[in-house]
Amino acid sequence: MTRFNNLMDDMKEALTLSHRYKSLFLPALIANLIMVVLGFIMIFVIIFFVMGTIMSLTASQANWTYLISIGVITVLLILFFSLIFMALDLGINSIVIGSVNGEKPSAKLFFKGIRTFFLKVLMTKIGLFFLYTIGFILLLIPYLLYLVTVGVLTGGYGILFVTCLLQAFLGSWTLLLMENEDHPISGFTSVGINLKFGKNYFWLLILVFFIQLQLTAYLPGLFGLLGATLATLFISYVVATVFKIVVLLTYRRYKENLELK
Amino acid sequence: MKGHNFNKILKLFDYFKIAFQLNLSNKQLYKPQIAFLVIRGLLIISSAFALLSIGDKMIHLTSMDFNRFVGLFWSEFQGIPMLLTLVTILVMVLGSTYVESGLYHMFYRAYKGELTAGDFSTGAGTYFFKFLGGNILIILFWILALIPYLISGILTLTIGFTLIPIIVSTFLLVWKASLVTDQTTLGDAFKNSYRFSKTNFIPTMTFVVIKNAMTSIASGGSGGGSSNISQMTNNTNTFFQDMPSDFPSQDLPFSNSFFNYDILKLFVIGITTLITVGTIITGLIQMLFNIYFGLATIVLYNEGWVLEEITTETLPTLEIPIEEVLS
Repeated sequence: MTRFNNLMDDMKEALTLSHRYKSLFLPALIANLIMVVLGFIMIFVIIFFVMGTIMSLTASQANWTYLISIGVITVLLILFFSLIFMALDLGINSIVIGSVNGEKPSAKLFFKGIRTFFLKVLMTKIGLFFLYTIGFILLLIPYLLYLVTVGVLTGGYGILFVTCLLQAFLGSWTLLLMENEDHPISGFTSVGINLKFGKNYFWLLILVFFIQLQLTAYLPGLFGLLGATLATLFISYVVATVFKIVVLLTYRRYKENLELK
Repeated sequence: MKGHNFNKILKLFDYFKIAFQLNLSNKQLYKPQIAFLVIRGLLIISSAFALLSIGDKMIHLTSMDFNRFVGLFWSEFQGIPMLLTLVTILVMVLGSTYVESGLYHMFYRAYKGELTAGDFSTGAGTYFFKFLGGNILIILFWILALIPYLISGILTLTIGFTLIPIIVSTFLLVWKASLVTDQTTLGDAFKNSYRFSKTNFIPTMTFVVIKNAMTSIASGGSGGGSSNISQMTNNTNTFFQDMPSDFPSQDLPFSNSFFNYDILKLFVIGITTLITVGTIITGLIQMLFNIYFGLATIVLYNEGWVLEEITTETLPTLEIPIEEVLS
Protein backbone atom coordinates (compact mmCIF):
# COMPACT_ATOMS: atom_id res chain seq x y z
CA MET A 1 0.00 0.00 0.00
CA THR A 2 2.65 2.47 1.11
CA ARG A 3 4.84 1.19 -1.68
CA PHE A 4 2.14 1.88 -4.25
CA ASN A 5 1.68 5.42 -2.92
CA ASN A 6 5.42 5.95 -2.99
CA LEU A 7 5.53 4.67 -6.56
CA MET A 8 2.82 7.13 -7.59
CA ASP A 9 4.83 9.93 -5.93
CA ASP A 10 7.94 8.80 -7.79
CA MET A 11 6.04 8.82 -11.06
CA LYS A 12 4.85 12.34 -10.33
CA GLU A 13 8.37 13.45 -9.66
CA ALA A 14 9.63 11.67 -12.79
CA LEU A 15 7.02 13.48 -14.86
CA THR A 16 7.87 16.81 -13.23
CA LEU A 17 11.56 16.28 -13.95
CA SER A 18 10.94 15.33 -17.57
CA HIS A 19 8.65 18.34 -17.90
CA ARG A 20 11.40 20.58 -16.57
CA TYR A 21 14.37 19.08 -18.46
CA LYS A 22 13.05 18.40 -21.93
CA SER A 23 16.57 17.82 -23.20
CA LEU A 24 16.45 14.47 -21.39
CA PHE A 25 14.74 13.20 -24.50
CA LEU A 26 17.34 14.37 -27.02
CA PRO A 27 19.13 10.99 -26.92
CA ALA A 28 15.79 9.34 -27.75
CA LEU A 29 15.66 11.43 -30.90
CA ILE A 30 19.24 10.50 -31.73
CA ALA A 31 18.44 6.83 -31.19
CA ASN A 32 15.55 7.08 -33.59
CA LEU A 33 17.69 8.80 -36.23
CA ILE A 34 20.39 6.14 -35.86
CA MET A 35 17.73 3.49 -36.28
CA VAL A 36 16.48 5.08 -39.50
CA VAL A 37 20.06 5.18 -40.84
CA LEU A 38 20.58 1.60 -39.73
CA GLY A 39 17.37 0.62 -41.49
CA PHE A 40 18.65 2.08 -44.76
CA ILE A 41 22.02 0.36 -44.38
CA MET A 42 20.34 -2.95 -43.66
CA ILE A 43 18.19 -2.55 -46.76
CA PHE A 44 21.35 -2.15 -48.85
CA VAL A 45 23.01 -5.12 -47.18
CA ILE A 46 19.98 -7.27 -47.86
CA ILE A 47 19.86 -6.11 -51.48
CA PHE A 48 23.54 -7.01 -51.94
CA PHE A 49 22.97 -10.35 -50.28
CA VAL A 50 20.01 -11.19 -52.48
CA MET A 51 21.89 -10.06 -55.59
CA GLY A 52 24.86 -12.22 -54.58
CA THR A 53 22.64 -15.23 -54.09
CA ILE A 54 20.94 -14.72 -57.43
CA MET A 55 24.28 -14.31 -59.21
CA SER A 56 25.61 -17.43 -57.55
CA LEU A 57 22.55 -19.35 -58.66
CA THR A 58 22.76 -18.17 -62.26
CA ALA A 59 26.47 -18.90 -62.40
CA SER A 60 25.62 -22.34 -60.99
CA GLN A 61 28.54 -21.94 -58.67
CA ALA A 62 28.32 -20.07 -55.38
CA ASN A 63 30.57 -17.05 -55.05
CA TRP A 64 31.50 -17.85 -51.48
CA THR A 65 33.91 -14.97 -50.92
CA TYR A 66 31.18 -12.50 -51.84
CA LEU A 67 28.54 -14.10 -49.63
CA ILE A 68 30.88 -14.57 -46.68
CA SER A 69 32.14 -11.00 -46.86
CA ILE A 70 28.56 -9.75 -46.78
CA GLY A 71 27.89 -11.98 -43.78
CA VAL A 72 30.96 -10.61 -42.02
CA ILE A 73 29.89 -7.04 -42.81
CA THR A 74 26.45 -7.76 -41.35
CA VAL A 75 27.91 -9.16 -38.15
CA LEU A 76 30.28 -6.20 -37.84
CA LEU A 77 27.44 -3.76 -38.41
CA ILE A 78 25.34 -5.45 -35.74
CA LEU A 79 28.25 -5.33 -33.28
CA PHE A 80 29.01 -1.71 -34.12
CA PHE A 81 25.46 -0.56 -33.71
CA SER A 82 24.89 -2.52 -30.53
CA LEU A 83 27.96 -0.75 -29.10
CA ILE A 84 26.50 2.59 -30.18
CA PHE A 85 23.16 1.78 -28.55
CA MET A 86 24.95 0.64 -25.42
CA ALA A 87 26.83 3.92 -25.27
CA LEU A 88 23.60 5.82 -25.80
CA ASP A 89 22.04 3.91 -22.92
CA LEU A 90 24.95 4.84 -20.65
CA GLY A 91 24.66 8.47 -21.67
CA ILE A 92 20.94 8.46 -20.91
CA ASN A 93 21.63 6.88 -17.50
CA SER A 94 24.17 9.61 -16.84
CA ILE A 95 21.83 12.51 -17.62
CA VAL A 96 18.97 10.78 -15.79
CA ILE A 97 21.06 10.54 -12.63
CA GLY A 98 22.21 14.12 -13.17
CA SER A 99 18.68 15.45 -13.54
CA VAL A 100 17.52 13.66 -10.40
CA ASN A 101 20.45 15.33 -8.62
CA GLY A 102 19.25 18.65 -9.97
CA GLU A 103 21.79 19.10 -12.76
CA LYS A 104 20.60 20.26 -16.12
CA PRO A 105 21.21 17.57 -18.77
CA SER A 106 24.18 18.48 -20.95
CA ALA A 107 26.36 16.93 -23.60
CA LYS A 108 29.24 17.05 -21.12
CA LEU A 109 27.32 14.95 -18.59
CA PHE A 110 26.16 12.63 -21.35
CA PHE A 111 29.67 11.87 -22.62
CA LYS A 112 31.15 11.73 -19.13
CA GLY A 113 28.86 8.82 -18.36
CA ILE A 114 29.87 7.01 -21.51
CA ARG A 115 33.61 7.60 -20.95
CA THR A 116 33.63 6.51 -17.32
CA PHE A 117 31.57 3.36 -17.60
CA PHE A 118 31.91 2.08 -21.15
CA LEU A 119 34.66 -0.49 -20.56
CA LYS A 120 33.30 -1.71 -17.24
CA VAL A 121 29.79 -2.22 -18.62
CA LEU A 122 31.13 -3.83 -21.77
CA MET A 123 33.18 -6.34 -19.78
CA THR A 124 30.24 -7.15 -17.52
CA LYS A 125 27.99 -7.54 -20.54
CA ILE A 126 30.42 -9.96 -22.19
CA GLY A 127 30.50 -11.93 -18.95
CA LEU A 128 26.75 -11.85 -18.70
CA PHE A 129 26.45 -12.88 -22.34
CA PHE A 130 27.98 -16.28 -21.55
CA LEU A 131 25.71 -16.68 -18.54
CA TYR A 132 22.70 -15.68 -20.64
CA THR A 133 23.66 -18.21 -23.31
CA ILE A 134 23.93 -21.01 -20.75
CA GLY A 135 20.66 -19.90 -19.17
CA PHE A 136 19.00 -19.73 -22.56
CA ILE A 137 20.04 -23.26 -23.47
CA LEU A 138 18.98 -24.60 -20.07
CA LEU A 139 15.67 -22.76 -19.94
CA LEU A 140 14.64 -23.02 -23.59
CA ILE A 141 12.51 -26.16 -23.27
CA PRO A 142 10.80 -25.13 -19.99
CA TYR A 143 10.17 -21.73 -21.53
CA LEU A 144 8.59 -23.23 -24.66
CA LEU A 145 6.41 -25.42 -22.47
CA TYR A 146 5.46 -22.36 -20.46
CA LEU A 147 4.62 -20.49 -23.68
CA VAL A 148 2.20 -23.11 -24.94
CA THR A 149 0.52 -23.65 -21.57
CA VAL A 150 0.47 -20.54 -19.42
CA GLY A 151 1.16 -18.19 -22.32
CA VAL A 152 -1.85 -19.42 -24.27
CA LEU A 153 -4.16 -19.78 -21.28
CA THR A 154 -3.53 -16.25 -20.05
CA GLY A 155 -3.91 -14.67 -23.47
CA GLY A 156 -0.41 -13.19 -23.61
CA TYR A 157 -0.22 -11.96 -20.04
CA GLY A 158 2.01 -14.88 -19.09
CA ILE A 159 4.55 -13.91 -21.74
CA LEU A 160 4.40 -10.27 -20.67
CA PHE A 161 5.00 -11.41 -17.11
CA VAL A 162 8.23 -13.17 -18.09
CA THR A 163 9.45 -10.01 -19.81
CA CYS A 164 8.63 -7.99 -16.69
CA LEU A 165 10.42 -10.60 -14.59
CA LEU A 166 13.61 -10.32 -16.64
CA GLN A 167 13.44 -6.53 -16.54
CA ALA A 168 12.84 -6.49 -12.80
CA PHE A 169 15.82 -8.70 -12.03
CA LEU A 170 18.29 -7.73 -14.74
CA GLY A 171 16.97 -4.57 -16.36
CA SER A 172 18.56 -1.78 -14.38
CA TRP A 173 21.99 -2.88 -13.21
CA THR A 174 23.80 -0.35 -15.44
CA LEU A 175 21.73 2.42 -13.89
CA LEU A 176 22.52 1.14 -10.39
CA LEU A 177 26.21 0.80 -11.30
CA MET A 178 26.36 4.42 -12.38
CA GLU A 179 24.28 5.56 -9.43
CA ASN A 180 26.96 4.20 -7.08
CA GLU A 181 29.68 6.21 -8.76
CA ASP A 182 31.08 7.81 -5.60
CA HIS A 183 32.09 4.46 -4.11
CA PRO A 184 32.63 2.35 -7.22
CA ILE A 185 31.38 -1.20 -7.31
CA SER A 186 32.15 -3.88 -9.84
CA GLY A 187 29.72 -4.71 -12.61
CA PHE A 188 28.71 -8.03 -11.10
CA THR A 189 28.14 -6.45 -7.70
CA SER A 190 25.70 -4.15 -9.43
CA VAL A 191 23.97 -7.13 -11.03
CA GLY A 192 23.76 -8.60 -7.52
CA ILE A 193 22.16 -5.42 -6.20
CA ASN A 194 19.72 -5.49 -9.10
CA LEU A 195 18.81 -9.12 -8.29
CA LYS A 196 18.26 -8.18 -4.66
CA PHE A 197 16.22 -5.16 -5.71
CA GLY A 198 14.04 -7.41 -7.85
CA LYS A 199 13.67 -9.97 -5.08
CA ASN A 200 12.83 -7.57 -2.23
CA TYR A 201 10.57 -5.28 -4.23
CA PHE A 202 9.19 -7.91 -6.56
CA TRP A 203 5.61 -6.76 -7.18
CA LEU A 204 6.57 -3.11 -7.18
CA LEU A 205 9.13 -3.60 -9.95
CA ILE A 206 6.86 -5.97 -11.86
CA LEU A 207 4.23 -3.21 -11.79
CA VAL A 208 6.75 -0.56 -12.92
CA PHE A 209 7.91 -2.60 -15.88
CA PHE A 210 4.39 -3.74 -16.70
CA ILE A 211 3.31 -0.11 -17.00
CA GLN A 212 6.41 0.68 -19.04
CA LEU A 213 5.92 -2.24 -21.44
CA GLN A 214 2.21 -1.60 -21.92
CA LEU A 215 2.83 2.08 -22.62
CA THR A 216 5.66 1.23 -25.01
CA ALA A 217 3.40 -1.15 -26.87
CA TYR A 218 0.41 1.17 -26.93
CA LEU A 219 1.69 4.70 -27.48
CA PRO A 220 3.30 4.33 -30.95
CA GLY A 221 -0.03 3.14 -32.30
CA LEU A 222 -1.62 6.47 -31.36
CA PHE A 223 0.08 8.32 -34.16
CA GLY A 224 -1.08 6.21 -37.05
CA LEU A 225 0.94 3.99 -39.33
CA LEU A 226 3.51 6.67 -40.06
CA GLY A 227 4.08 7.30 -36.37
CA ALA A 228 4.27 3.60 -35.68
CA THR A 229 6.96 3.05 -38.32
CA LEU A 230 9.05 6.16 -37.81
CA ALA A 231 8.68 7.11 -34.17
CA THR A 232 8.38 3.78 -32.33
CA LEU A 233 11.95 3.86 -31.13
CA PHE A 234 11.69 7.51 -30.09
CA ILE A 235 8.57 6.83 -28.07
CA SER A 236 9.96 3.70 -26.46
CA TYR A 237 13.14 5.58 -25.51
CA VAL A 238 11.09 8.44 -24.06
CA VAL A 239 9.04 6.00 -21.99
CA ALA A 240 12.21 4.17 -20.99
CA THR A 241 13.88 7.43 -19.91
CA VAL A 242 10.94 8.42 -17.72
CA PHE A 243 10.88 4.96 -16.16
CA LYS A 244 14.63 5.06 -15.57
CA ILE A 245 13.92 8.08 -13.37
CA VAL A 246 11.16 6.15 -11.63
CA VAL A 247 13.43 3.15 -11.00
CA LEU A 248 16.20 5.43 -9.78
CA LEU A 249 13.89 7.27 -7.38
CA THR A 250 12.54 3.95 -6.10
CA TYR A 251 16.06 2.66 -5.63
CA ARG A 252 17.09 5.77 -3.70
CA ARG A 253 14.03 5.46 -1.52
CA TYR A 254 14.80 1.90 -0.49
CA LYS A 255 18.57 2.06 -0.82
CA GLU A 256 19.44 1.14 2.76
CA ASN A 257 17.57 -2.17 2.45
CA LEU A 258 19.56 -3.16 -0.61
CA GLU A 259 23.16 -3.09 0.65
CA LEU A 260 24.95 -6.28 -0.30
CA LYS A 261 26.75 -7.90 2.61
CA MET B 1 -2.47 27.09 -19.29
CA LYS B 2 -0.05 24.35 -20.16
CA GLY B 3 1.39 24.25 -16.68
CA HIS B 4 -2.14 24.14 -15.38
CA ASN B 5 -2.85 21.00 -17.40
CA PHE B 6 0.41 19.49 -16.24
CA ASN B 7 -0.55 19.96 -12.61
CA LYS B 8 -3.86 18.31 -13.32
CA ILE B 9 -2.05 15.37 -14.88
CA LEU B 10 0.12 15.10 -11.77
CA LYS B 11 -3.03 15.11 -9.70
CA LEU B 12 -4.14 11.99 -11.59
CA PHE B 13 -1.58 9.99 -9.65
CA ASP B 14 -3.24 11.02 -6.40
CA TYR B 15 -6.52 9.68 -7.74
CA PHE B 16 -4.73 6.46 -8.62
CA LYS B 17 -3.62 6.21 -5.00
CA ILE B 18 -7.18 6.63 -3.75
CA ALA B 19 -8.46 4.06 -6.25
CA PHE B 20 -5.79 1.60 -5.17
CA GLN B 21 -6.71 2.04 -1.53
CA LEU B 22 -10.41 1.55 -2.34
CA ASN B 23 -9.51 -1.51 -4.36
CA LEU B 24 -7.62 -3.06 -1.47
CA SER B 25 -10.20 -2.36 1.18
CA ASN B 26 -13.23 -3.51 -0.82
CA LYS B 27 -12.50 -7.06 -1.90
CA GLN B 28 -16.18 -7.80 -2.47
CA LEU B 29 -15.97 -5.71 -5.63
CA TYR B 30 -14.50 -8.77 -7.33
CA LYS B 31 -17.39 -11.09 -6.54
CA PRO B 32 -19.83 -10.10 -9.31
CA GLN B 33 -17.34 -10.40 -12.13
CA ILE B 34 -15.95 -13.69 -10.86
CA ALA B 35 -19.47 -15.09 -10.66
CA PHE B 36 -20.19 -13.76 -14.14
CA LEU B 37 -17.03 -15.34 -15.56
CA VAL B 38 -17.87 -18.72 -14.03
CA ILE B 39 -21.44 -18.60 -15.35
CA ARG B 40 -20.18 -17.63 -18.78
CA GLY B 41 -17.64 -20.44 -18.80
CA LEU B 42 -20.23 -23.02 -17.75
CA LEU B 43 -22.64 -21.79 -20.41
CA ILE B 44 -20.04 -21.95 -23.17
CA ILE B 45 -19.05 -25.48 -22.18
CA SER B 46 -22.59 -26.74 -21.83
CA SER B 47 -23.79 -25.29 -25.11
CA ALA B 48 -20.71 -26.69 -26.81
CA PHE B 49 -21.58 -30.11 -25.45
CA ALA B 50 -25.18 -29.75 -26.55
CA LEU B 51 -24.05 -28.92 -30.06
CA LEU B 52 -21.60 -31.81 -29.99
CA SER B 53 -24.36 -34.21 -29.05
CA ILE B 54 -26.19 -33.05 -32.18
CA GLY B 55 -23.02 -33.71 -34.11
CA ASP B 56 -23.03 -37.21 -32.69
CA LYS B 57 -26.34 -37.96 -34.29
CA MET B 58 -25.58 -36.22 -37.55
CA ILE B 59 -22.37 -38.11 -38.10
CA HIS B 60 -24.42 -40.92 -39.57
CA LEU B 61 -25.28 -38.78 -42.54
CA THR B 62 -23.21 -40.22 -45.33
CA SER B 63 -23.89 -37.83 -48.17
CA MET B 64 -23.83 -34.08 -48.08
CA ASP B 65 -27.44 -33.23 -48.78
CA PHE B 66 -28.00 -29.69 -47.63
CA ASN B 67 -31.75 -29.95 -47.03
CA ARG B 68 -31.44 -33.15 -45.06
CA PHE B 69 -28.55 -31.64 -43.15
CA VAL B 70 -30.51 -28.55 -42.16
CA GLY B 71 -33.64 -30.55 -41.41
CA LEU B 72 -31.86 -32.99 -39.17
CA PHE B 73 -29.94 -30.21 -37.46
CA TRP B 74 -33.12 -28.28 -36.80
CA SER B 75 -35.02 -31.26 -35.42
CA GLU B 76 -32.17 -32.02 -33.05
CA PHE B 77 -31.58 -28.39 -32.21
CA GLN B 78 -35.07 -27.78 -30.89
CA GLY B 79 -35.44 -28.19 -27.17
CA ILE B 80 -32.64 -27.98 -24.67
CA PRO B 81 -29.80 -27.15 -27.08
CA MET B 82 -31.73 -24.21 -28.48
CA LEU B 83 -32.59 -22.95 -25.03
CA LEU B 84 -28.98 -23.24 -23.94
CA THR B 85 -27.68 -21.43 -26.99
CA LEU B 86 -30.22 -18.65 -26.60
CA VAL B 87 -29.41 -18.22 -22.93
CA THR B 88 -25.69 -18.17 -23.75
CA ILE B 89 -26.13 -15.49 -26.41
CA LEU B 90 -28.39 -13.46 -24.12
CA VAL B 91 -25.88 -13.65 -21.29
CA MET B 92 -23.08 -12.69 -23.68
CA VAL B 93 -24.92 -9.66 -24.97
CA LEU B 94 -26.62 -8.36 -21.85
CA GLY B 95 -24.66 -9.90 -19.02
CA SER B 96 -21.67 -7.59 -19.14
CA THR B 97 -23.89 -4.50 -19.11
CA TYR B 98 -25.85 -5.97 -16.19
CA VAL B 99 -22.71 -6.68 -14.20
CA GLU B 100 -21.29 -3.29 -15.10
CA SER B 101 -24.35 -1.38 -13.95
CA GLY B 102 -24.27 -3.14 -10.60
CA LEU B 103 -20.54 -2.68 -10.29
CA TYR B 104 -20.58 1.04 -10.96
CA HIS B 105 -23.08 1.50 -8.16
CA MET B 106 -20.78 -0.57 -5.94
CA PHE B 107 -17.83 1.60 -6.96
CA TYR B 108 -19.68 4.72 -5.96
CA ARG B 109 -20.77 3.24 -2.64
CA ALA B 110 -17.21 2.08 -2.00
CA TYR B 111 -15.95 5.57 -2.77
CA LYS B 112 -18.42 6.95 -0.25
CA GLY B 113 -17.34 4.26 2.21
CA GLU B 114 -20.84 2.84 2.45
CA LEU B 115 -20.53 -0.41 0.52
CA THR B 116 -22.97 -3.05 1.74
CA ALA B 117 -23.91 -6.53 0.59
CA GLY B 118 -27.06 -5.66 -1.36
CA ASP B 119 -25.50 -2.89 -3.38
CA PHE B 120 -24.88 -4.96 -6.47
CA SER B 121 -28.50 -5.94 -7.01
CA THR B 122 -29.72 -2.44 -6.09
CA GLY B 123 -27.35 -0.91 -8.63
CA ALA B 124 -28.14 -3.42 -11.33
CA GLY B 125 -31.85 -2.92 -10.75
CA THR B 126 -31.63 0.86 -10.88
CA TYR B 127 -29.12 1.42 -13.64
CA PHE B 128 -29.29 -1.59 -15.93
CA PHE B 129 -31.64 -0.06 -18.50
CA LYS B 130 -29.85 3.28 -18.42
CA PHE B 131 -26.50 1.58 -19.01
CA LEU B 132 -27.99 -0.55 -21.75
CA GLY B 133 -29.58 2.47 -23.40
CA GLY B 134 -26.34 4.40 -23.20
CA ASN B 135 -24.33 1.55 -24.69
CA ILE B 136 -26.84 1.15 -27.52
CA LEU B 137 -26.70 4.90 -28.18
CA ILE B 138 -22.91 4.76 -28.39
CA ILE B 139 -23.02 1.82 -30.77
CA LEU B 140 -25.59 3.68 -32.89
CA PHE B 141 -23.34 6.74 -32.84
CA TRP B 142 -20.45 4.67 -34.13
CA ILE B 143 -22.57 3.11 -36.86
CA LEU B 144 -23.64 6.59 -38.00
CA ALA B 145 -20.12 7.96 -37.67
CA LEU B 146 -18.50 5.06 -39.49
CA ILE B 147 -18.22 6.68 -42.94
CA PRO B 148 -16.93 10.11 -41.71
CA TYR B 149 -14.60 8.20 -39.39
CA LEU B 150 -13.13 6.15 -42.23
CA ILE B 151 -12.75 9.21 -44.46
CA SER B 152 -11.10 11.35 -41.81
CA GLY B 153 -8.92 8.44 -40.81
CA ILE B 154 -7.59 8.10 -44.31
CA LEU B 155 -7.22 11.87 -44.79
CA THR B 156 -5.11 12.18 -41.65
CA LEU B 157 -2.78 9.37 -42.77
CA THR B 158 -4.37 6.82 -40.39
CA ILE B 159 -3.69 8.99 -37.34
CA GLY B 160 -7.43 9.58 -37.12
CA PHE B 161 -8.14 5.88 -36.85
CA THR B 162 -6.62 5.73 -33.40
CA LEU B 163 -7.03 9.32 -32.28
CA ILE B 164 -10.75 9.73 -32.99
CA PRO B 165 -11.84 6.78 -30.80
CA ILE B 166 -9.67 8.15 -28.02
CA ILE B 167 -11.17 11.62 -28.29
CA VAL B 168 -14.67 10.15 -28.36
CA SER B 169 -14.02 7.96 -25.36
CA THR B 170 -12.52 10.97 -23.59
CA PHE B 171 -15.82 12.77 -23.93
CA LEU B 172 -17.70 9.63 -22.94
CA LEU B 173 -15.43 8.68 -20.07
CA VAL B 174 -17.54 9.66 -17.10
CA TRP B 175 -21.17 9.20 -18.17
CA LYS B 176 -21.49 6.01 -16.18
CA ALA B 177 -19.86 7.67 -13.19
CA SER B 178 -22.20 10.61 -13.60
CA LEU B 179 -25.23 8.29 -13.73
CA VAL B 180 -24.41 6.63 -10.44
CA THR B 181 -23.12 9.79 -8.75
CA ASP B 182 -25.74 12.35 -9.73
CA GLN B 183 -28.62 9.90 -10.23
CA THR B 184 -29.63 11.84 -13.32
CA THR B 185 -31.23 10.89 -16.58
CA LEU B 186 -29.21 9.45 -19.42
CA GLY B 187 -29.19 12.70 -21.36
CA ASP B 188 -27.89 14.68 -18.41
CA ALA B 189 -25.24 12.07 -17.77
CA PHE B 190 -23.92 12.45 -21.32
CA LYS B 191 -24.04 16.23 -20.95
CA ASN B 192 -22.15 16.08 -17.66
CA SER B 193 -19.60 13.78 -19.22
CA TYR B 194 -19.12 16.17 -22.14
CA ARG B 195 -18.75 19.20 -19.85
CA PHE B 196 -16.36 17.43 -17.55
CA SER B 197 -14.07 16.36 -20.37
CA LYS B 198 -14.30 19.73 -22.09
CA THR B 199 -13.04 21.64 -19.07
CA ASN B 200 -10.29 19.08 -18.38
CA PHE B 201 -9.61 17.83 -21.87
CA ILE B 202 -5.86 17.13 -21.79
CA PRO B 203 -5.80 15.50 -18.32
CA THR B 204 -8.89 13.41 -19.07
CA MET B 205 -7.37 12.27 -22.33
CA THR B 206 -4.19 11.36 -20.49
CA PHE B 207 -6.28 9.24 -18.17
CA VAL B 208 -7.98 7.56 -21.13
CA VAL B 209 -4.62 6.85 -22.79
CA ILE B 210 -3.21 5.36 -19.59
CA LYS B 211 -6.36 3.30 -19.10
CA ASN B 212 -6.34 2.03 -22.66
CA ALA B 213 -2.64 1.22 -22.54
CA MET B 214 -3.04 -0.76 -19.33
CA THR B 215 -6.16 -2.63 -20.39
CA SER B 216 -5.10 -3.35 -23.96
CA ILE B 217 -4.56 -7.05 -24.43
CA ALA B 218 -1.07 -8.05 -23.42
CA SER B 219 1.16 -8.35 -26.42
CA GLY B 220 4.35 -9.65 -24.92
CA GLY B 221 5.85 -6.22 -24.86
CA SER B 222 6.11 -5.67 -28.57
CA GLY B 223 3.61 -4.51 -31.11
CA GLY B 224 0.28 -3.70 -29.67
CA GLY B 225 -3.44 -3.78 -29.91
CA SER B 226 -3.87 -0.16 -30.78
CA SER B 227 -7.61 -0.02 -30.82
CA ASN B 228 -10.24 -2.42 -29.72
CA ILE B 229 -13.98 -2.26 -29.59
CA SER B 230 -14.12 -1.74 -25.85
CA GLN B 231 -12.48 1.62 -26.21
CA MET B 232 -15.24 2.70 -28.58
CA THR B 233 -18.14 1.72 -26.41
CA ASN B 234 -16.18 2.35 -23.25
CA ASN B 235 -17.49 -0.88 -21.89
CA THR B 236 -15.96 -3.02 -19.18
CA ASN B 237 -16.60 -6.19 -21.06
CA THR B 238 -17.71 -5.93 -24.62
CA PHE B 239 -19.67 -8.84 -25.80
CA PHE B 240 -17.74 -9.01 -29.06
CA GLN B 241 -14.67 -10.14 -27.19
CA ASP B 242 -16.62 -12.70 -25.27
CA MET B 243 -18.04 -14.57 -28.21
CA PRO B 244 -16.66 -18.07 -28.17
CA SER B 245 -14.41 -18.13 -31.17
CA ASP B 246 -14.90 -21.78 -31.91
CA PHE B 247 -18.33 -23.18 -32.11
CA PRO B 248 -17.98 -26.86 -32.67
CA SER B 249 -20.92 -26.75 -35.04
CA GLN B 250 -18.41 -25.88 -37.73
CA ASP B 251 -16.82 -29.28 -37.42
CA LEU B 252 -19.86 -31.15 -38.61
CA PRO B 253 -20.18 -34.42 -40.43
CA PHE B 254 -18.41 -34.07 -43.75
CA SER B 255 -15.12 -35.15 -42.28
CA ASN B 256 -16.17 -38.65 -41.32
CA SER B 257 -14.46 -40.32 -44.24
CA PHE B 258 -11.14 -38.64 -43.48
CA PHE B 259 -10.91 -38.58 -39.72
CA ASN B 260 -11.78 -40.79 -36.89
CA TYR B 261 -14.81 -39.01 -35.49
CA ASP B 262 -14.03 -39.85 -31.89
CA ILE B 263 -10.61 -38.28 -32.10
CA LEU B 264 -12.13 -35.22 -33.72
CA LYS B 265 -14.68 -35.01 -30.95
CA LEU B 266 -12.06 -35.33 -28.28
CA PHE B 267 -10.08 -32.62 -29.99
CA VAL B 268 -13.07 -30.29 -30.12
CA ILE B 269 -13.87 -30.93 -26.46
CA GLY B 270 -10.25 -30.26 -25.55
CA ILE B 271 -10.07 -27.05 -27.52
CA THR B 272 -13.38 -25.81 -26.13
CA THR B 273 -12.29 -26.49 -22.58
CA LEU B 274 -8.91 -24.88 -23.20
CA ILE B 275 -10.46 -21.78 -24.69
CA THR B 276 -13.00 -21.55 -21.91
CA VAL B 277 -10.33 -21.86 -19.23
CA GLY B 278 -8.23 -19.34 -21.15
CA THR B 279 -11.15 -16.94 -21.38
CA ILE B 280 -11.75 -17.24 -17.67
CA ILE B 281 -8.11 -16.67 -16.72
CA THR B 282 -7.69 -13.75 -19.14
CA GLY B 283 -11.01 -12.41 -17.92
CA LEU B 284 -9.79 -12.55 -14.34
CA ILE B 285 -6.64 -10.60 -15.21
CA GLN B 286 -8.61 -8.05 -17.20
CA MET B 287 -11.07 -7.81 -14.33
CA LEU B 288 -8.35 -6.46 -12.06
CA PHE B 289 -7.71 -3.59 -14.46
CA ASN B 290 -11.35 -2.97 -15.24
CA ILE B 291 -12.28 -2.68 -11.59
CA TYR B 292 -9.27 -0.56 -10.83
CA PHE B 293 -9.94 1.89 -13.63
CA GLY B 294 -13.67 1.88 -12.95
CA LEU B 295 -12.92 2.96 -9.41
CA ALA B 296 -10.42 5.51 -10.69
CA THR B 297 -13.08 6.93 -13.01
CA ILE B 298 -15.49 7.35 -10.10
CA VAL B 299 -12.76 9.02 -8.05
CA LEU B 300 -11.86 11.21 -11.01
CA TYR B 301 -15.44 12.34 -11.54
CA ASN B 302 -16.07 13.02 -7.88
CA GLU B 303 -12.79 14.76 -7.09
CA GLY B 304 -12.85 16.52 -10.43
CA TRP B 305 -9.61 18.49 -10.11
CA VAL B 306 -11.20 21.11 -7.88
CA LEU B 307 -8.04 21.36 -5.87
CA GLU B 308 -5.70 24.02 -4.69
CA GLU B 309 -3.33 25.46 -7.23
CA ILE B 310 0.24 24.29 -7.11
CA THR B 311 2.94 25.84 -9.22
CA THR B 312 5.05 23.82 -11.58
CA GLU B 313 8.17 24.82 -9.80
CA THR B 314 7.32 23.16 -6.49
CA LEU B 315 8.31 19.55 -6.86
CA PRO B 316 6.07 17.11 -5.09
CA THR B 317 8.04 16.08 -2.08
CA LEU B 318 9.00 12.48 -1.70
CA GLU B 319 7.19 12.08 1.61
CA ILE B 320 3.55 12.85 1.14
CA PRO B 321 1.88 11.59 4.33
CA ILE B 322 -0.34 8.64 3.63
CA GLU B 323 -3.01 9.85 6.01
CA GLU B 324 -3.73 12.57 3.52
CA VAL B 325 -4.56 9.98 0.92
CA LEU B 326 -6.47 7.68 3.17
CA SER B 327 -8.83 10.31 4.46
